[in-house]
Order: sequence, then structure tokens, then C-alpha cells
Amino acid sequence: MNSKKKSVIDYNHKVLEVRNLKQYFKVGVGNRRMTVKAIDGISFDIYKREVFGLVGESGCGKTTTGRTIIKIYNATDGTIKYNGRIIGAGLQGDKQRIRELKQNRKLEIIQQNPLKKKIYELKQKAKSDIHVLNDDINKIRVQTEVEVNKLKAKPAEFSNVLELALHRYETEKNQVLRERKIKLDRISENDIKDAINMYNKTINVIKRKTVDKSKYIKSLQVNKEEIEEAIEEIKTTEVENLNVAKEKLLKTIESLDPKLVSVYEKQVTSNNPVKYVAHVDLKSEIVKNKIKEIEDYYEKVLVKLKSDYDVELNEISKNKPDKQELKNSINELKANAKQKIKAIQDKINKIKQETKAQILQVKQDAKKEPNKFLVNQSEIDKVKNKYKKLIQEAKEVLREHRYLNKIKETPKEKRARLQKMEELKEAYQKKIVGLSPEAAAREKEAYENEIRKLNESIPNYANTMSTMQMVFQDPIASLNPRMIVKDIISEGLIVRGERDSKLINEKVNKILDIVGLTPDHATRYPHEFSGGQRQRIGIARALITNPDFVIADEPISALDVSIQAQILNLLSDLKNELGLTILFIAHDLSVVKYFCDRIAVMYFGKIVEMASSEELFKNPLHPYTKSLLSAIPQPDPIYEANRSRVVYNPSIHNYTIDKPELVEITPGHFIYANNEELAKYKEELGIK
Amino acid sequence: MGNQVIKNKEKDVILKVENLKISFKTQQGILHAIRGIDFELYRGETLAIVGESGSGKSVTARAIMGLLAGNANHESGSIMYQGQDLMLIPEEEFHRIRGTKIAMIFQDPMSSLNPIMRVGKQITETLVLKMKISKASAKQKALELMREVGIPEPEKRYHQYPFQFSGGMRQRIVIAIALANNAEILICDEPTTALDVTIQAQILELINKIKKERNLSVIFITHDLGVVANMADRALVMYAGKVVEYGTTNEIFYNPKHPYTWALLASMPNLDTTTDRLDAIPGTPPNLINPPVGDAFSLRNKYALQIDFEVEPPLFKVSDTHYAATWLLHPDAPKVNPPKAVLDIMKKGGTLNEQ
Repeated sequence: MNSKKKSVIDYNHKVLEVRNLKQYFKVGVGNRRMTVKAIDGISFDIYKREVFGLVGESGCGKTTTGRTIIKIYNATDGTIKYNGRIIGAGLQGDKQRIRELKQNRKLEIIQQNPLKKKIYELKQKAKSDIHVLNDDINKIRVQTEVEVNKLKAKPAEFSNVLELALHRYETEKNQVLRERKIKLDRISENDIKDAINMYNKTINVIKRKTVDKSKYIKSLQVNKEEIEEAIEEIKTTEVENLNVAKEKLLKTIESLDPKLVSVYEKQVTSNNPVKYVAHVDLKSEIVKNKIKEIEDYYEKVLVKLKSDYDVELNEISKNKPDKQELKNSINELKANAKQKIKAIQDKINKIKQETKAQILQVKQDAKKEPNKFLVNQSEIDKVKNKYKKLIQEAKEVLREHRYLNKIKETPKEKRARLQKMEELKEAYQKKIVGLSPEAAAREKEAYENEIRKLNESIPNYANTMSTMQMVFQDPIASLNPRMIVKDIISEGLIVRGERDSKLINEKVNKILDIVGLTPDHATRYPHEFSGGQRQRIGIARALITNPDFVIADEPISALDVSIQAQILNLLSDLKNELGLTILFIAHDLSVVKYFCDRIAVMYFGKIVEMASSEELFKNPLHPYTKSLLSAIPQPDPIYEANRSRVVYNPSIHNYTIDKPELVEITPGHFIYANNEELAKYKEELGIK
Repeated sequence: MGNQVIKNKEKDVILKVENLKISFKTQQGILHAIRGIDFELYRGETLAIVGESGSGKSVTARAIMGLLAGNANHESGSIMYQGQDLMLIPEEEFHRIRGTKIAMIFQDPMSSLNPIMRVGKQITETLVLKMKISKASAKQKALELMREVGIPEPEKRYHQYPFQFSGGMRQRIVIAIALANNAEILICDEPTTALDVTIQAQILELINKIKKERNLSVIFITHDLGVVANMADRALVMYAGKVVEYGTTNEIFYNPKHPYTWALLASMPNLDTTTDRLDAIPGTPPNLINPPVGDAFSLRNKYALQIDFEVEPPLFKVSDTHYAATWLLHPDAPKVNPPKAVLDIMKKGGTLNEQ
């Protein structure tokens, strides 16, 4: 794939050398204070015009790596060399080295003093013995605590079980009660309706019959008085009957649902004779029966529930823990532990006393036979001298790193520069002796030029870092919403000291053209652009200072599908035209495979595998790489149907004895493994 | 995986969208977000809706959930579910459906959970409100759900806040909330876009597992064609508020007909891409305040015919299950070959294609 690209990688020119880079973050306060190892000792090189990909899950440290390289953070340890000059160095390692040197010096001096050596050895032995014993004590304490906690939790567990059982019983009981109520409600409601219907029907019948009877009597050819009497009688019976019907109805309703009586009393106003009373009676009887039936049924259910619950309770209470017993066993456990710890502490005391006695003995021996315990002073002086030099060197490195880290001239560099200036001055003064004024002026100009060049070469942020630029992940958050595009893009130039507004305009227009925007976009604000165009602005901002090296931190993951391809094409065009070197940080493996020449896979702050992209996808070795590769969905249903995901379990590595490191297994293919695993991987690759 | 197409079984339509048109009133004018879409969701299938942002996939999902914004205007069409039109029923009625019958998983697990409420309460909230069960039994149910979606130590996690969860775990909580009321339709709106590849694979497996166990019907909205190939039985490609192509997953990948589907397939690199340049889709999606005349994709389409700029293409039938809206399928249209990347994918279908 590389051969197809226009730009050719220059493997002799290392743009970036990262060595043993560490970045620790201190988080939390008080007891929760802890160190997060975001990057834990990674090393890689990036060659000229290469695209180097960093892949991993979120939280694996890829973005932190990018940000540490461009010095948004200061490294904890390790060095970053950019174009041959260290631009970032962590001081932790240097300090560690000085500490180690001092420790070694102490040990070596003791070696030359027989008495001190003997005492030191005795003390060391006692110390290691006591350490082992202390560990034992801690183990016993922890174990006892676990067991005691287990015992202590028992009553709570028991009450939990009880509560659960009670809760279950109550929920079920409530459920049954609710069901019963619903059924009863339904019955009374329907029956009230029935009763009212029946009542209405019957009063109609009563009324009709009264009218019929009246008509009939009227039709009889009897005298008027009799007729009136008869009708009067009929009407009174009608009123009586209606009243009886009403009473019956109300009674029925009352029997069904007493609350409703007042409501229906208002509705039932008419009064007429009745014949249906018996029916209502019957109806109410049926309703009563039904209600009884339902109540009986649910009574049975409830009784059964209760009995079940009682049985369960019995069952549970068999396991009821006895408080006294628990207390006793806890006390027993504690006493046991105490006894064991006491025994061990006795041992420790014994060791201490013995050591003391031995030391005394040695001292007495030394007094008795001073010849055997002669101090080799000359040897000690030698050692002291040796270490003095070494420590001074280490301190020098530390000081240098401190300056380099701030991108300042180190004292060494300053000395060299001043010396050079002195030499130039001398040479110049020698040269101008006996020259004509014109020639002297020429010489002076040349000399001043040289001096200016030297002064300009003093390293500072602007001239060291401006050839390194970064494209950020989120095109919305990384552009200042209150600045117009021209200001955003030209900021880098202004920081570098460019003041000519005409030149700035020219450059901005040119760069906008390169990234596929037009010059009239320059006066707009970021919110007027779509996501893809905003990312183009971000790229333009990175390119305005003519960088050699661009760190692209997930430049396409926040973009739309159809726009991602545009940005990828733009980046690869720019790479070919401008000869850029790119550190491409991404989590999308398909994109990384397409775009990068070499890929490093990161897992929890460490590079676990690093190879050319073809090699990595052809021969993935590390289980984590395999699991990552197996997780990428492909636009191919048949492949997807057969794809099975490999799950990475970090506990398969046993790094307790055999420490792992990043080793080159085949040329250009690095893997993080110990010796045992390395042999396995080699077998996998089919090499001896 | 999800590719068992329900061919032999009787297709049981659970949700039917007909001629749906939705527009939004904005300051610039009326934005026609959905311009007449039709589709059916069968019981037990996964239907993927693919498209870039602004194509109307999320608006469709929100219309089904009854969660459209206040400035939305339902112009025409219907969403039929259980004999009722979801676009017409009042909000009070919708309370009975939303969450209990149709549930939704949102895109961003960071912002769809309440940051100041313990996750346990967030899961039980819906149980207590909708199922009317007591708090204690809701807790038991919530713990079961958390176990089902694969959260270790649910008893401990129950009392934690969302910020104590990682992204994948948070998405699991969101899924647990969606599953709490035994919904029969699950709408997943880009559920894995904010997640890592390995976590994405886990979440997709989880959704597939739950779908199988509960016989859910899933509407899966995404822009990642790899995920579509993994999850879907059928796929629906949307562009500028219209369905441009739909068919079974195999048909969409191994026999795509619409130039937009081609462009989507060709624009992203997959593991087999070896070309120097990607076939990027030029330009940006059209502004739907003034939708273009004719085919909305014609401006970005290198295969566009003259008629594409004038008349909107109807859905041409490719097979019983496969339809595409492009004039290229008209008998009078010239024959064109899809881009090379698409041909590569079609080749992989091989024998399947000929059937």
C-alpha cells in the first residue's frame, strides 16, 4: 500500500523519538488520593512522512500521549525527542537515578568497613525475617475480619429472609383482597343496575295497569259515585304498591352497597302500586348468595396463603441464628487470632533481641581483635570519588532536562553559544585590521549577520514547537465561537510574531483554498459552518504555520458518515502534497488500517503490539489485538453472521516472575510479552 | 446472528407507518424533516434505519414514541399500532403505550440518565409509576433486570450514581430501564455511537440476546453499515426525509440499487479497502427548508440523469422485499456499474446474489 502513495517514507530521518514516556496523574484528596498511570512507559519512533496510528479503547492513554507530545502536559518520566532535540523530559527517572546512586554508594562504602558490614548484614536479615512475619500477622487479621463479618451478617441475613417472606405474603394477600373487592364491586354494580331496571319496568307496568283498570271501570255502566270510589281505591293501592317497590329497591341497594342509597333515593321518586316486590327479593337473595360464594372462595384462598406463610415461617425460623452462639463463636475466632498474632509477635521480639545480642557480640569482637576489622580507607575514598562524579553527571542531566522541558537554552548550550560568539568576535577583530573602510563595512555586516543567526537559534516555544501542530477531535468544541474564521486560523502566525496583516490575509486565503473552503468563508463565525467544514477549519489552523508534524487526535470520529471520507481524503492529499508526518489517533480500526503505515495498539497505558498496518492485520499476535480486530463490524452480512468475538481477559498473563517488555519478534513487529509468551508467539508465526 | 429472515413464517405486522409527513416550524421557514415515508415492522424482526444525520431517522423514531418537539407539525399520514393511529391519540392515551408497549434506547448514555438520581431509583421509577407495584418488589425486579443486562454486583450498583458507571455500563442501565415494563417494540436510536468498539460489540450482543429471549421487534437506527450487517433482518436507507431503498439485509448489501446506498457503502474504508482514495460523497445533505426538485440526492450523485433533476423517482420494485427509488431502475435508463468498492462487497455475496 505504501508504494501506491506519492510521498515516500524516509526511514533515516526520525521526526519523533519517544522513549519510556510516562504520564501519571494524581487524583483525589485525603485517603482517596491515588496515582493514575495514564501512560506507563511507552517508546516509539515516527519517521519522516509516515502516518503512525495509535489505536485503543477510550481510557487507554492515546489522547494523553498526543497531548504530552505537544506539551499540553509535562511528562512524568521519559523523553520526547523532536527532530533530534529533546522537547519534553520527565524528571522522575532522573531523580530516581540520583537516589539509586546514593544508595549504591552507601552500600559500597559499607562493604569496605568489616564491622559496619557485619552489623548491616545482621540488621538486613532481621528486617527481612520480621517483614515476612508482619505479613503473616496482616493475613491473619484480614482473614479473621472476613470470617467475623460473615458471622455478624447472619442475623441481618435472617431478618432479610424473614422480611422478604413477609413481604411476599403481604403482596399476595393484598393481591387477593384487591381481586375480591373488584369482583364484589362488579356484582353490586351490575345488580344495582338490574334492580333499578326492574323497578322502572314494574312501575311502568303498575301505572299502565292502573290506567287500564280505570278505563275498564269507566267503561262499566255504573253510577258516577261508585266509579269515583273505585278509582280512588285503585289509586291508593297504586301509591301503596309504588312505595313498597321503592322501599324494596332501596333495601336491595342497601344490601349491596349502603353508600349508594342516598344517590338512588333521589332517582326513585315516583309512587305506584307494585307486583314485582317478590322479584327484587329474589334478586337480592341471588346476589347475597353470589357474594357469599365469592367471599367463601377468597376466605379459603386467604387461609391457604396464611397457612403457607406459616409453614414457610416455620421453615425459616429453623435456621434462626442464636445470638449467644454467634457471639461465642465470634469471640472464639477473635481470641484465636489474638493468640496466633501474640505468638508471632513474640517471635519478632525474639528476633529483635537476638539481633541486638549478635550486634553487641560483633562490636565486642571488634574491640578484642581490631586487626580483623580494619577499615580500608583508601578504597572508600576511591568509591566516594567515583560516585561523586556519577552523581554530578546525573544532576547535570536533571538540570539539562529541566531546561529542555521548558524549551529554554541549557547552561551547556549557553556556554557553547557565548564561546562561539567570542571566537567570532576575535576572528572579526583580526580580519578588519588593515582593511579599507568598504571592505571593513562588508566584514562588519557579515559578522553581525552571524551573531544574529546565533541569537535567533536560541530555542524557544515559537521556533521549536511551531512545526508541530494538532487537530482536535471535536470540531465544535475546539473552535472559539466568538472569533471569526480568519482570526482562528491566523492566531498561530500572530503568536509566532507575524504582524503584516496583508501577508496574514494572503496566507489565510491560501490555506482556506487548500482545505477546500473559499476565501469568503474567512469572515464568518464557526457556528455558520457544518461539522465537516468546521473540521476543515481545524485542519487549516493546524497547517497555517507550515508544520512538518501533525498530531490528529480522532479527527473524524465526531463527523457524519458521508463527511468522514471527505476529511480522510483531504488529510491524505495534504500528506502527499506537503510531505506531512502524521500521528493519527483513532479507535476505528478500519480507518486506521486504511490510513496508517504503522500502527501501535495501546492497552491501559502500554503499547501491547506495534507493526506495519498490513502485518498487524495479517498476523495479530497479542490477545488484545485479536479481540479488537474481532470486534469490528463489517458491511458484509455473511461475514457478520460468522464473526465470533474474542474476549480479552488480561488475567491470562502471568507477569509475577517473568517480567514482560516490548520486543521485536520479526523485523518491524513489536510485541509486549515475557520470554514464555514470546516463545508461544514465535511458534504461532512459525519461526524458531 | 440477526439474519434469520422471517420468510416462511406468517409476517405479522406490528407497526405500520403510512405516508408520514412531518415538518418543523423554524425561524428560517418550514423544515420538511420527513417527506412521506411508508414502512412496516414485523413481529420479532430487527429493522435497521440507515442514513446520515438530518435524514429524518431520529424524527421517525420520535414520532413513533410521541416525543416530537413542540414546533413539529404532523402534515399527513399515520402510524398504526394495535388498531390506533399513534399520531392522533391524545397524550393521556399515549401514557399507556409509551414505555410500556414501545420503549426507546437513546444515543448518549451520558445525558439520558439523571445525574443526581441513583440508578436503582431510575429503573424502579417506571415500575412504580406504570406497573403500580410496591417499591420493595420493584427493587427485586430492578435487580433482576440489572442482572439480565449483565451488570455485576447489582446489589451494590443499585445504590450508585450514573457517574460511577462507565459508558458501556451506563448504556446497560438505559437498556434495563427500557426493558422494565416488558415492551414489545424497542427503538434503539444509535445506541452504540458513543461507545468503544469492544463495548459496542458487547452491547449489540446484549440487544440481540434480549430480542431473542423476549421476542421483541426492534427498530435500530444507525449510520454504521457494519452494525446493520450484524443486527438487522431488513434495512431501510433514508435520505433527506425519504426512503430511498429498502430490502432484506442481504439485498441491501449484496444487490444495492440506489446510488446513495452505493455511496454509503463505498465512502467508508473497511478492512479490505486497498484503494488510494475513498469515494467520498461530495457536498453536504440538502437543506430541507427548500427541498430540491426531483431526486434529493441528484446534486451529490455522479450517476444522476437529467430526469433526476426534474421528477422525483417512484419506488421501483426489484424483488418482493426489495424496492429502490431511483430512475436508474426504469427500463429506459442507461446501464451503469456501481463503484468498485461496492462491486467488491457484492462479490462477497456471490452465490446469494444470483438466487
